[in-house]
Order: sequence, then C-alpha cells, then structure tokens
Amino acid sequence: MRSLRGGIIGIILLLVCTVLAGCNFKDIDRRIFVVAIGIDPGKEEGVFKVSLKLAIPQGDVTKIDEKMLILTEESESISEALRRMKSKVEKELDYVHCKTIILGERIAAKDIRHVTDWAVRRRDIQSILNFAVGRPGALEVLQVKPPSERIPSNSLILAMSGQGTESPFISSVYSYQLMRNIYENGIDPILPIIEAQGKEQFLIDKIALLDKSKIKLVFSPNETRLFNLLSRSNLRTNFPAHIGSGMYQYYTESSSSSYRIVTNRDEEPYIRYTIKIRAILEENSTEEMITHHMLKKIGKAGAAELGGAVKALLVKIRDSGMDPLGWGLHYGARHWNNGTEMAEWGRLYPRLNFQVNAQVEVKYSGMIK
Amino acid sequence: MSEQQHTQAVLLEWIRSQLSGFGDLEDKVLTIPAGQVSLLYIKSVTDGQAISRNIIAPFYEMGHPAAYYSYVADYPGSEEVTDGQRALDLLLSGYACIGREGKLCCFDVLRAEASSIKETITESISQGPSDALGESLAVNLNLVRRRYLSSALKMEFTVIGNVSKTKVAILYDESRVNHQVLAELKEKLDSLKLDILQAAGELEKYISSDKLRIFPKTIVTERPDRVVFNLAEGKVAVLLDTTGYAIVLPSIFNDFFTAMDDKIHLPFVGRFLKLLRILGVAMTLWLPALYIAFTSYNPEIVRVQIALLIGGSRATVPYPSFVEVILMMIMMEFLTEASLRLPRAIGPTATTVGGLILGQAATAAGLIGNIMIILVSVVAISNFLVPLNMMSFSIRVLKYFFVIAAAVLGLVGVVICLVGFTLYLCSQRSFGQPYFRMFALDVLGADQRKKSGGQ
Amino acid sequence: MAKNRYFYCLFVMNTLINILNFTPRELIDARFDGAQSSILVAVAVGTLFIYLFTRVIHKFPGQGLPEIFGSALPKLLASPLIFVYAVLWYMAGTLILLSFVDITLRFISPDTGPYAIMFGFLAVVCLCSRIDSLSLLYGLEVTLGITIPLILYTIVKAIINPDFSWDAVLEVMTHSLHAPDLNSIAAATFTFSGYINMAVFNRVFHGLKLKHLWILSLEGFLMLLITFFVPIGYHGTVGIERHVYTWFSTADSIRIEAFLIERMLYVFYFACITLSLVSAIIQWHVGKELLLSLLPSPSGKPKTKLLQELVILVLFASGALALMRLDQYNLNMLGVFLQHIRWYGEMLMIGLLFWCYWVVRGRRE
Repeated sequence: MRSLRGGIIGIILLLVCTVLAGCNFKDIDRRIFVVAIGIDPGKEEGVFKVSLKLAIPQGDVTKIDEKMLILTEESESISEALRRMKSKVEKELDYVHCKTIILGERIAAKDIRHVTDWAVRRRDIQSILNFAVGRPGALEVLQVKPPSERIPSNSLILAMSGQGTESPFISSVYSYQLMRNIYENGIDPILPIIEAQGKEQFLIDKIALLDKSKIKLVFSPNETRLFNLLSRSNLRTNFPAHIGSGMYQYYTESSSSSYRIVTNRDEEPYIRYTIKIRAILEENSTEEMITHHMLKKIGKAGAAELGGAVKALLVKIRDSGMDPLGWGLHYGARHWNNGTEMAEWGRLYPRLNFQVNAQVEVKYSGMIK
Repeated sequence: MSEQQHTQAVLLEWIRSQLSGFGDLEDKVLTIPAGQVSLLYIKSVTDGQAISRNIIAPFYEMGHPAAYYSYVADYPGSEEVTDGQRALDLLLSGYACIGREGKLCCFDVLRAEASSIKETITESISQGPSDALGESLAVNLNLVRRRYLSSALKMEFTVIGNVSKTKVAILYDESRVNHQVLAELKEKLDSLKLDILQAAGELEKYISSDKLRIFPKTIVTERPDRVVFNLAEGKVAVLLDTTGYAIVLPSIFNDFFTAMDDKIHLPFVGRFLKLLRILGVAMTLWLPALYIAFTSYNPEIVRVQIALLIGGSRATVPYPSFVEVILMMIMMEFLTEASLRLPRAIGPTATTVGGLILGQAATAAGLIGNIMIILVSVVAISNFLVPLNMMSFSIRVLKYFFVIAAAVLGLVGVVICLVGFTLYLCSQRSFGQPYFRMFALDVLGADQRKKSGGQ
Repeated sequence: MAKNRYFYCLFVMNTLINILNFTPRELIDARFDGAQSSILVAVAVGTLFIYLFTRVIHKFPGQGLPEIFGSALPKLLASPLIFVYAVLWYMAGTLILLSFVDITLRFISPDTGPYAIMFGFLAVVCLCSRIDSLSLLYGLEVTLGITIPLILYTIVKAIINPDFSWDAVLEVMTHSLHAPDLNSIAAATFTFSGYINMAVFNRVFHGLKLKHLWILSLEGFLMLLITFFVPIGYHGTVGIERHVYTWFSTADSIRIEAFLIERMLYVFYFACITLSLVSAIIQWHVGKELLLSLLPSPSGKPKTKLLQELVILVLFASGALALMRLDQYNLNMLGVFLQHIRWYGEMLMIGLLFWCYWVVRGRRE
C-alpha cells in the first residue's frame, strides 16, 4: 500500500515537472546558433545592415558537410534588425555562441562605439568574443567558407583564438579589451582586419589603429608583426638578417619586450625599448658553414635590422598621435600627481624619442651547421 | 518421589499436547532391565547420527539409568529444565528431551543444514581474502574470531522474533567501542517487536529510525574481513543466524566508498581508486542532469563545437531532452534489473541484446541522440563503482532527483539540488555519529585510537 | 562538539561571498577617492573586531546571543535588540538571494522566470535553515571544500592572463593617497564580518580559542585586494564603472583554453551560487534561531516548534518574494544601507557582549 502511494506521488511529480518544464524549456535542436555577426552601414544614411552567420547542427557527424546560413536585415538599430530576423527562421536565434563580431570597414571608419556598447550590454553576448574589421565589408567576410571547415565559422574562431594557427600577423581583440581601451585614458584600441579573398579564403594580417572611435591608421603586415612582437611575449615568427649579400632568417623561439619611459629634466623624453629574442637559424642563402662566430654575427646583424624596423614603427605610431601600446597609461601608473599627469603626458607625447635595444641571440644553427 | 514422577509425566504430556500435529515428532521410551527413560525430539531439526551415537548407544552400553542420566545431564551443552515452555523452546531449536524419574534434561543434537563457506559474490575484490559469511552463526563467529584474536572482542547474544527466534550476536571490541552507540543499539534491539526476522537488511531497516531515509546508515556486508576491519575501528557488528550478512554500525558516508582491497593496494593506487569511485558517483549523479541543463536551458555553457555536436546528435529526436533522458535511463534500469534476475547463462546475452543492439537501433532510428547513448552507458557503469550495494542502489535512485531538478530549473536546479543534498547528508547521524563530513576519517578512528593509545 | 576550524570556515565564507556584489561595487565606485586606504582601515578594524569578539565570546562557552542577553540584560531591552538583530540577519540572507536571482537572470537563464528561480532558492534555503547548527557547519565545510578550489582557479587564471592590464592596476594604486571613505570602509569590513554568525553558532562551540589571528587578517586583506584590483585589470580604470556585476563581468572575460567549458563565467557562477546559497541558509538559520528564542519555548513538544519554525520561514519567504519588486538601483541602495547598519550593529553587539560579561562577572563575585 505504501509503495503504491509512493509510486503515485512519483508519477505526479513527473507530470508536474513536465508541465513546469514546458514553459521555458527550449531544446538545443529548437535553437539556431549565431556564430558570427557582421555589421555594415546600410544603403541609407544612419542605417545598419546586420548580417548573421548561423550554424545549423547536422545529424550525421561523420560526414564533412558544413551547413550554414547567412541572414541580412537593415534597420536603424541593431536590436530591431535582430528582432526582424527572428521571423526569417523557424528556430529561436541564440546569440550565446557568437564568437566574432565583424565591423564593416565603413562602420569602423565612422564610429564603433555604438556597436561596442550594444555588444557589451547584451547579456547573452559573451565578453570573450573577437572583434575585427571586415574588408571590404562584414558580409563578404561572413560569406567566406574555407573548404577545410566543418563547423560554420570555426576557421575564424580558431584563427582568432590562437588555438589553430599561431600566425604572428594575427592579433585578436576581445570585446572586453576593446571596451576597456575605448574608455581608458592613455591607451587606444586596435582591431585586426580580416580581408575576404573570394569565397573560400580570408586573410588576417593587418591591424587598424583607432582613436577611441574610428580607424586612423592601418599597419602593413610587417608592421603588424613588429607590433605583435612589442605587445605580447613569445611571438613565433621569423626575422631576416643580412650580412653582406647573404640573407639569413632566424626563427624566434622566445621573445620578450619591455620599455621604460625616461623623462630626465635635462634631455628630451624618450622611451627605451628592450627586445630580447632567442632564436634558431632557419634559412641560409649562402653555402657557407655556420660557425659559432657566424651565429653571433647573424644575431648582431639581425638585432640591428630589427632595431631599425621597430624604431621606424614607433616613430610612425607617435606621429599618428595614437597610443595603441598604452604608454600613456604606463606613464600615469608610475606618477602620483593624478590630477595633472595626463595633461603632462599630452605635452610630452609629440616630443618623444625612441631608443630600441634589440638583443637577438641565435642559439642553434638548426639541424645542420 | 511419586510427585516428581508425576510432574515429569505432566510436563511431557503438556509438551506432547503442544506438539500435536508434528509429523516429525519422535517420542520413544527406551527400556532396559534396569529401568527406562523417555526420549522426545523433533526429527527435522536434529542430527540422527548424533542421537544414536550420543544418546541411544550409551544408554544400552551403560546399562544403568541413573548413571546414564547423569552422563546426559553433564554433557557439555545439556540443560536440565523444570519449565515446560523452556523445554518446548529447546525442543524446537534442536534439542532432544530425556526424562527419567521426574527429571527432564535437554540434550543438544542440533542439525544445522548450513551451506559451507562460499566465496564473496556481491563484494568481490581483486586481491585479498575471498571467504564470505555463511548462513550459520557459529561458522560466522568462527570466521570473525579467527581474524580478531583479541580478548577485548566481546560477543553478546540475544533472540529476536516471536516466531522465527532468530539468534543475534552483537560483536564489539570493548576497548575501542563507543559505548553510547552500543547502548543505543541494545535499546533499539530490545524494543523490537516482530514475528519474523530473516535477513540482515531487514534488521537494518528496523533499527534505523528515519523512515524516509535515502542513504543507508549501516553497512550490510558479507565480508568477514570488513567486519573485522570495522571492529578494529571501534564499530559494532551484528551477526544474524540464518543469514549470510553482517550489519556494521555506525557507518558514515565515507565507509560506503571503502573497498576492502584499498588497504592491500599501494598507497597511491588506493587513493586513486577511491578518487575514481567518488568521480564515478559524481558522474552518475550529474551527467544526466547536466545533459538536460546543457541541451535545454544553458547550451551556452559548453563550447560552441560541443554545442553543435549535441545539437546535431539530437536533430532527429522528436521529444524534449528530459523525456529522452528519462526514457533511456529507465531502459537502462530495466536492463540492470533483468540481468540480475536472469539465470547466469542468459544474463550476458540479455545485456548484449539490450545494451548494444537496442542502443544502436535507437540511434539509427533517430529516437535517441548518439551522445545520450554514451552518457547512459557511462552513468550505468560508473554507478557500480561503489563497492557496497546498498549505497549504489541509493545513488541509482538519487540521480532522478537531479534529473527532475534540471528539467525544471536547468543548471540552477542542479546546483540547488546539490546544495540541498549536501546539507541533508550533513544533517544525518548514524547512531549519533555525523554521517557526512569533509574530513570524515577523524570522526571515529582517530578519536578512538587516541583514546586507546592513552590507556 | 564543533572544532575551532569551523570558526575559520565561517570567516572564509564571508570573505569569499563579499566578491559577489556590494563590496566590489562600493570599492570600485570609490577607486579614485580613497578605496585603497579604506581597505587598510577595514583590515585593521576588522581584525580588531574579530579579536575583541572572540575574546568576549570565549567567556560564554556554549551560549548564543539570546542566552547571553537573557542572562545579563533586562528582558525589556534584550527582546527588542534580539528582534532587530534577527531582522538584520534575515535581510542579509535575503539580499544575497535577491542578488543571485538577478545574477542568474542576467548570466545563466534569461528565459527562466525570476519567480521560478526564487522559488527554487527559497525551497532549499527554507528546508535547510531548519537543520541544526552543527550540521550546518559540517555542510559549510564541505561546500567550502568544493568551491574554494574553483574560486582559486578563477583568481589564478584571472591574474596570469597576459591581457590583464597591470598598468591599470598600478594607475589605480597611484590614487591611494586619499583619506578613507566611510562607505568603502563599511563595505570592506563586510569581508571580516563572518565571525558575527557566532552569535548563534557559539552554542555548539565550547570555549572558542583563536590561534593565528594574523592568518585571518592576511586572508581578508588579500581577498579585498583581489576583489578590488582584478576587475580593474580587466575593464580598465574608467571602463570598470560601467559594469554592474563587476566580478561576473570579469569572470566572463576569462577563457579556459582546454576544457569542455570555455567560459570561466560558469565555473565561477557555480562556485558562487553554491557558496551563496549556503551562506543565505546560514544567515536565515541565525535569524530564525534568534526569533525562535523570542517565542515561548515549546518545551519538548516537537509539533509546536515545527509550527513556530514554519511561521517564521513563511514570513521570511514572503518577505523575500515581496522584495523582488525592487529594481537594480533600489537593490543596490538597500545593500549599501544594510552594509552600514550591519557595521554599526557589529560594534554595538561587541559592546553589549562586554557589558554582559561585566554584569555576569559582577553577579558571580
């Protein structure tokens, strides 16, 4: 008798919870995941053209067969465009897995703050999603579908997160970093540029410098690589060293960079950059054997070459008036006159000089001498 | 003299009347020229050989009833009785009654049809002793005594059950036992009022006060070495006649995850195995619930690649994840139950047919997602990592609470359930001992050892 | 009986849940106006409070606040005081629940209704706050055992992230030379106020003796620094003021590279909600026990006690449901207000306990 009662209670509980579960229970197969959002200016002035790249889960995982869908809608506001797109698909649009927001180049040239604010404010869009500038437009970048891709937009995710390729030309910017650098005094945001090349390939090897709201300057791939060398440690790349007519390439096994802002009263202010690289020789255009002496020479030549290139980049940054490496913040963090330090820095900045102390230590000659 | 004879005759008569209808009652009068004795016993519970060798043969060899009677009365295990009820009880439990000239003596000729010592079935281990407790109390006590050669090991006997008259032995190490626990146990045993007691699990049920309990609070074990191990930890063991299991109490949560070969393994291996078990329990409890939470409420938690994989595997499933999980888990329970009841020869077939073919077909038909099948198998397997059956059954039931919570509130529900159960476990007591604590080891063992070390 | 380590558990619980809501918000609002010096003051004051409190509570082994007040103060004074404290504890627990309903809605299940979540929380909190004090301490210890590794993982992962802006942290450090500010001190001392639950839990402690007080103050200090500086490192000295739940936004900014779960937010959320629920249970337990002591004791009638508890918990729950109408800003104001009241309440309680001790000793002599 008691067990019977228990059974009845169990069944009632089950029924209750099916009823309860019904109201906000939305299975994963009733949702459609937005994996990337692209935002372009619309045809009219002040209108956004929002494109969504949707991932459609597929039943048979053994087949390499990617299904994706791109929706586009124009509206004055992003949210309005998204709402309208809801009625274009049969499933609920879910933004929680959106890993990339691509800003069309024309948006980035005007103002990115509206979009950034929207992305950070929305609760279902994560703070670790990558922001990038799309060239020629965001939609074109979204439409790229590399043949090696199995999950929609996975190639973009992998490329930007560094989990897949570790290209020295790619620098990823998460939305919290963008947000932080937009509002912070003494540092300016950057954004990587993704170029669509046809329908099957993209190219990420440039950085755009922004003055809090819009693109001011675009680095070339080489400058991008040097910038990455300065902004993060252990960049895996190669740099050239020329000795006479011979060209050598060394691969950086580890790299680090640090700087000091020197403001002595009796001389012009300058920033001293110290770059330390441990490297392996990778390429040798001459037929000579590599001796210990030669390794040292390559290191020295490489250091001189690198130092020159870095200095040119730093001067270019200074002349643009922007501060992507956060020197101003660095200056402020080491001065206690909080009221006046930023104004001081503003006066100092155009007069800055640079000293680059590059140390390249080529440790190995590779597998052969 | 005649009066005495008279009482004996009345006594025997009363016994006969009580036992009327006993087809196997043997009622004989042995006669030699020097005199006669009456012999009364029940055939089915007595040992015929013992009777002929120890009772009948000496009577004719000695040739003197008075000497014979004193031989019988002095025989170890014999008892002179004057009370009819007592005599009846003894008769029923395998004694033979011998009456001569007003005196009545009961002679122990019990035939115990007990199976011999078998190997452990439910608590097998890879190394170490494999004797299991048998059905005879005497053998069991022997098994325990042989492993615990200490004068401090005390045994107390009592009888429970108005009809079954089950003999119950309480074992404890006097120098280590917690006397509060002992007193509480005795009190509970004394207050028991039942007719039949046949299994250790039954007794376990009667001495636990909480009717709605989910977790077992006493270990029911078939391993004499576990009994001994626990006796040394200061616990009390209760052994029952006619059942192959012993009850060990007080038992805390941690005890149910200790297998007897933990001690045998190398220290790191032992730790690793214990960690595995805890991990297994966590998996079996949470995986189904988390699956529901991840597929129906919070697909944002897992990374996008996995989310799409789950989505893909569920693409053809026509009902919500909650139904899918319940369906599959019930199916798995059927399998487990069926393979338990099936004859040994068919068992594996049923499991293969059920597990492999059914799972394969269900996914092929699109009724169940692939991932669900993996999950169900993991849940089923990891459930049985728990060395003691009682606990693994509890956990089997418990996971449905988590499933329901997840179906109603998603991840939040799982967390609420987790907090609730943690605190519930902590609020439980097993004979006054905290049932669940962070450092459970220092509950009994350390305190007791400290005490005995000080003595 | 409870060992001394459970006192540390109560303390650690508070230092960990202060990360959630009001403390970082108040401190960060004052990051240019004296939060740093307030932290230092709070560490000193908090340690002093703990020291004084443990000294005086040591004199009342096995007694809770109601027993102590009952023995030393006139009933007319003791009862209203106990009532006020009970309400204070109740509010503290409720506030945690309310914040967590809000956080859950924002970060975890936007689709689930707030009332469904609240009912879930209330069910577990009401059921569990009826458990006896000692078991709650055991439970707290287990919960800490589960959550501390996760929270430590979050913190370590947050700090070793190469994108963590140390310059922003240093920039805020250069704003340290500022007079402390009362709001921030009140918020920061919350880190240290875990000991106050001893008002009821002292019933299961027999002669609490505190060793290594400096560990507590060091732990509290470190937690305050982490609470304050880590979000700044992620969201910048200026951008941080735009975030509502600074620590959850911070956890959302951390990525786990190699695991099933990619976003640290969920690991952190899991740890925090577990801890917060237990903490709310403990607060309500204290509040309930204090209220029970005001009612006539049922003396061996379990039914009456059950009824009393039921009435109290139903009142608690309906109060919590009523307070759900507050919006984000009202909730914050209530939180700040409560931080202040709680701080003054602590001071008053320590003073009263010393007074009680003085009275009791005088009577004994």
